[in-house]
Amino acid sequence: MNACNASHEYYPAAAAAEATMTATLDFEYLVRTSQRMVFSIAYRYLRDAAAAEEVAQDVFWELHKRLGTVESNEHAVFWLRRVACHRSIDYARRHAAELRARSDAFTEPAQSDPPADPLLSKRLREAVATLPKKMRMVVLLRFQQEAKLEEIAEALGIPVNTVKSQLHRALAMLREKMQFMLEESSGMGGTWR
Amino acid sequence: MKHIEEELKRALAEVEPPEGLAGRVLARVAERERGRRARAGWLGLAAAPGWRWAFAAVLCVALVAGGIFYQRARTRAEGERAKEQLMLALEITASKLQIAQATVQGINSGAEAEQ
Repeated sequence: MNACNASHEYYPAAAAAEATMTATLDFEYLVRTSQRMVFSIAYRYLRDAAAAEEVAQDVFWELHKRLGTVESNEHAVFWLRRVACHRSIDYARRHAAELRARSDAFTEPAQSDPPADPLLSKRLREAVATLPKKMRMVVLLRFQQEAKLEEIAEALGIPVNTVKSQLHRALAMLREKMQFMLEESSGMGGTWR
Repeated sequence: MKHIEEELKRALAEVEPPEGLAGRVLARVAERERGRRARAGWLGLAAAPGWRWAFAAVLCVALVAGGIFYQRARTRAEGERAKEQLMLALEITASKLQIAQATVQGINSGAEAEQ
């Protein structure tokens, strides 16, 4: 028995804390609890399930290599979100033509809370897909992950003011695009704000 | 009137990952880890403390042996060159002696003819 284990006989609280930490940073646990977040970021950004899975594989492999430097579960989740964003942007840059070709076969996977108006949601996602790359990720982090402006800034490595302006511009562009789409289709009227 | 922010939350909501994703991730990580360990195995062996001294000793022996081999090869090459120069000098001397002998014989045969 080593010195560390021996000390736990006298300090059970330390043993319990260590056990909690080991459980928290358990790789399999992290994969199972974060797969939905990582896959969703990649999927909503790339709009391709195979590409999103490829990104998720790379993100988790990267986590596995750096597991020793991850301090807590919260740190791991923050780290995974940041890496998923960057890997998705890189993937989109490297496989632009391939993704464009595959977007015809785009089918929406299951959602735990499906939208009331699936057609409107589809149109909105199409409009988001036309936004510039970084702006699209800002929108995704804000409205899918409900991240704060500071968290988005930290995840993407850009100033908070840039996040604010990008978000503002993105919403203006989306309102305009949606207005145009709605005017074109007879069944969907109304104004946006 | 539609609130775009609310609609965006619905449209971009998280989706369920494909079935078995976690299992596939774990399997691929295990496979990559095996590959990484196999690659690092030889390098790790060379970096182990005991092996480090053995590696240094082998390197020293190889350097000394290489030095001795180089020195011998160099001495042999110098000897070969000296031998070639000596042979050339002997050939030149022999040819000069032949000329001298021929000249002496010519003089002797001329003197005999006069008598």
